[in-house]
Amino acid sequence: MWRNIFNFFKGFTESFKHQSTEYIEFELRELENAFAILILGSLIGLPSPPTPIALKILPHMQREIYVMQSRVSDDDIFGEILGLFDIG
Amino acid sequence: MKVFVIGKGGVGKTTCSSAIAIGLSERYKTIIASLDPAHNLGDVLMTKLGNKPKKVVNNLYAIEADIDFFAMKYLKELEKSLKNVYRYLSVINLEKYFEILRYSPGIEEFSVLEAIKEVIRSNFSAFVFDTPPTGLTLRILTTPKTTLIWLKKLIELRRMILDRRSAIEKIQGKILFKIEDEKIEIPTRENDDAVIKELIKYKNEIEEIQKIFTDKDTYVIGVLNPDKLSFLEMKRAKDVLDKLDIELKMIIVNKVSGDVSLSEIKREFETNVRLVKLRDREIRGIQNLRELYDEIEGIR
Repeated sequence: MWRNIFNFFKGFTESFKHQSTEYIEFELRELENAFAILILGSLIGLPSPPTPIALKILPHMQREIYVMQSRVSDDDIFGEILGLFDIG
Repeated sequence: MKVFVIGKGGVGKTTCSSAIAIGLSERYKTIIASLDPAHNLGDVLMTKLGNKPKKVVNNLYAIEADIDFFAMKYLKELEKSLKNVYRYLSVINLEKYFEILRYSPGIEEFSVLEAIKEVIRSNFSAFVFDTPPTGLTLRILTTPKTTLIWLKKLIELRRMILDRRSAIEKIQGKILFKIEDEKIEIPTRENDDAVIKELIKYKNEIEEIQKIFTDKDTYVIGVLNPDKLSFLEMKRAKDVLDKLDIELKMIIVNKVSGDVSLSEIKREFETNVRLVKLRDREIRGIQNLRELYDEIEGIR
């Protein structure tokens, strides 16, 4: 029983933590997405930064490229925004 | 002291810059570098030049910078850092895949900047650069400024990202990013973030290059002929230089045969003007160039 109570409070705290950072996490993903688009925009016809900038930082951008890809293919961005503001 | 001689193709940039270098070499250990992919500095100085400084006379050395060499050198550096990250590709001969980068837009400008940096690092007191025709030269001079605009914006955006990550970390603990089965800790501080460190390091490098052009001891000298075309091109070049905060410190009107209105040129360019008379023979060789310097003198 103690274990269940412990798990309940743990879950409660986790959920509270998640709710409190939900908006920042959304904002962070969008910033990372924007950052990746600025660097790799030439792939979709956007003007690109001077070549050496992209070449220098590209090797360190696994996370941003991953976020950009999932924003395009997997994520339901509108659903996320509606959820964020408790709409629907 | 650094001197950049700019102007339309064929106005006599190489001749004037050679004369200036010879004059300066009487007071300073001087190097003249041709940055024009179509070199003719060796022809003017009447000696064979290459990609290494060669002594021409007493205190004067000259080099015809091989832009392809600097492009490859520059790309080798990039390749090294890419190799570290994409190490697994080395088994299938990585080098040939990155060779294509040589043809990326903008690489030529960065290669010329690399050549300028390399020359300035060498052990001389005065540096004279004979530049390519106006169009390419202006692109080269503009490159540091546009690169800095990008870098400043990207650094600002990166700081916002790190700021948000750090806020999340404070509440939820370390942020772990899962790629397939691997969990990677996401950096939340500038000291741990390779991206912002690269951006800041590169910004410092570019600011150093930018300083070369805007320093007080840098002379940008425009060469034009007494004709409308080279005059108009220099006017446009001056507009660009003004936007880049680069001062045009002297105008040399080369190959003057008749009357030229000095006051109009002075008024237009708001700078020192020197007139160089049209000779009845080609100006080549140390002696002839030294005589030409007497007409230009004023750079100290």
